[in-house]
Amino acid sequence: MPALRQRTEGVMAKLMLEQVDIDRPALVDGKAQRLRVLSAVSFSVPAGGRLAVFGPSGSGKTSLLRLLNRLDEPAGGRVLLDGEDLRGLDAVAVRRRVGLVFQQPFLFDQTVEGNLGYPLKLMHRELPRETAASLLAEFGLGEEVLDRRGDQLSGGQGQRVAVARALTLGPEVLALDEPTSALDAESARLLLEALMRRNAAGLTVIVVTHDRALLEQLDCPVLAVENGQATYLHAAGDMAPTPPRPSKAGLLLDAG
Amino acid sequence: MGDAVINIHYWDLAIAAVLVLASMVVSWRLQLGLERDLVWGAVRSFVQLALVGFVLGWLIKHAHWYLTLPALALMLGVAVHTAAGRVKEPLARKGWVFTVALVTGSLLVLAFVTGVVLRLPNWYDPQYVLPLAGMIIGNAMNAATLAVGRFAGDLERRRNEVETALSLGATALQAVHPIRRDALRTAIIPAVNGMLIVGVVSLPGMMTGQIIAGQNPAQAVLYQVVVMYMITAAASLTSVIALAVAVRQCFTSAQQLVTTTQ
Repeated sequence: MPALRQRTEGVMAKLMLEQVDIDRPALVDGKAQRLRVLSAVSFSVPAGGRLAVFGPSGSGKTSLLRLLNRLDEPAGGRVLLDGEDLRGLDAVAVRRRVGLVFQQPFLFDQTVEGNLGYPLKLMHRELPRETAASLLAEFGLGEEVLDRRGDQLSGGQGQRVAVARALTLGPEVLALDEPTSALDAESARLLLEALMRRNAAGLTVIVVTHDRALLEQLDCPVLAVENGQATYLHAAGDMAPTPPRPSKAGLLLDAG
Repeated sequence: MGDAVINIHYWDLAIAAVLVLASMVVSWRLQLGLERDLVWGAVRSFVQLALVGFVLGWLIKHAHWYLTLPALALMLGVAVHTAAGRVKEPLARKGWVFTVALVTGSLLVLAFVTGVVLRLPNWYDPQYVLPLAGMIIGNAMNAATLAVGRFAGDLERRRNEVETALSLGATALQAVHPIRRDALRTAIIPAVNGMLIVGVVSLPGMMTGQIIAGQNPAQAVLYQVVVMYMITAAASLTSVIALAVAVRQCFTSAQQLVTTTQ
């Protein structure tokens, strides 16, 4: 496990998890319980960096993501944003700095323009139409999409709108849960390109995925999640060539 | 004033029981399987109302605040218990939600009607307070049950929507706004509909009772109007309070939606 310091090569960690334990509520024999999904997770992401969270479904990747914008609290350990424990920060303020896009994002019963303007509307501010249009253009969507409603969009368009919506407040970090899993190749490409452009401009990006092809394209450190443990790997190439199997040994590191 | 009221005696009631018998025949012939429920309903309604009549009569004869108040407390207690039992959707501290809502909402409306509208010389006069309280609490309970049930159910179904809103920077109140709105409409619309049809489709009990007892219809309907306004206010106020308390049970102080697994 690489040593994690607040400052890596002079760069302050944007997001850091220290010995985080993650529980998930579950019904066991009809009684409400909390199941330990991940133990002692530790990693850091520098500002403007990228991190992929990779693992089989059910391994706790989504639960981990939900800690980053305080939708849930960790059962143990700390989540730090710019060195500050999230629990000491106002939850709404955290969510404006750390955006989260769900696997099946929900679009409100409004036009796309209404959806994009929603986060600002919460703060009693308006999103100018030109800004909305240029935001859509980043994701390869034309201005005419602004007047469409959620159910008139294809899956790929809806996903891109949801990601664009999460960016309207200018967050410092964007976390995405399986952003391309339900997308056609074209939409996935457009989405990834937009994300990489934003990342180059300073947005810290965290992507949960089980798609190895996406891992290759992201070309960044990977947090490999399996069997209740998370292993930090500097590059996707450090991973075993075969897809991870749910084995006791959980061998994810290349033997060499 | 009309002629003296025609009183009903117990053997008249036995004759009226033929009506229940007629329903039972319908149920039996058409194989509805409701005969037992009909008998049980007829017996229970008779027993419960006989008891209430006896108690009310006694309370009116002995009009004291220390008797009226416990009667009110009992009515509220039963209403809270019934409401909490009827809401099957998951929600933490249902009893607390309904207690705050029913006590606050009902008593406020009751105080207004007895103190400001009727200007009763004695606020605890059981002849007025208890029947009015009965109507207020009954309707408040129905409205609150509808509101809370709808809210809790929708909140579970629309989790994704709520957490999306939270993730985009909404507070708990902002995130549940559309759900709260739908739940309140569900609770208040029946009261509004009641006002729209009263006198045209339905001739409700308050005025019919007074008319049969010999009251001038022009005066009886005034009472009915007051009752309609009172019921609507009770429904609205109690539902709003119930949801305000319910929202607080569903979110942590860090604007996180709690998971309810019962």
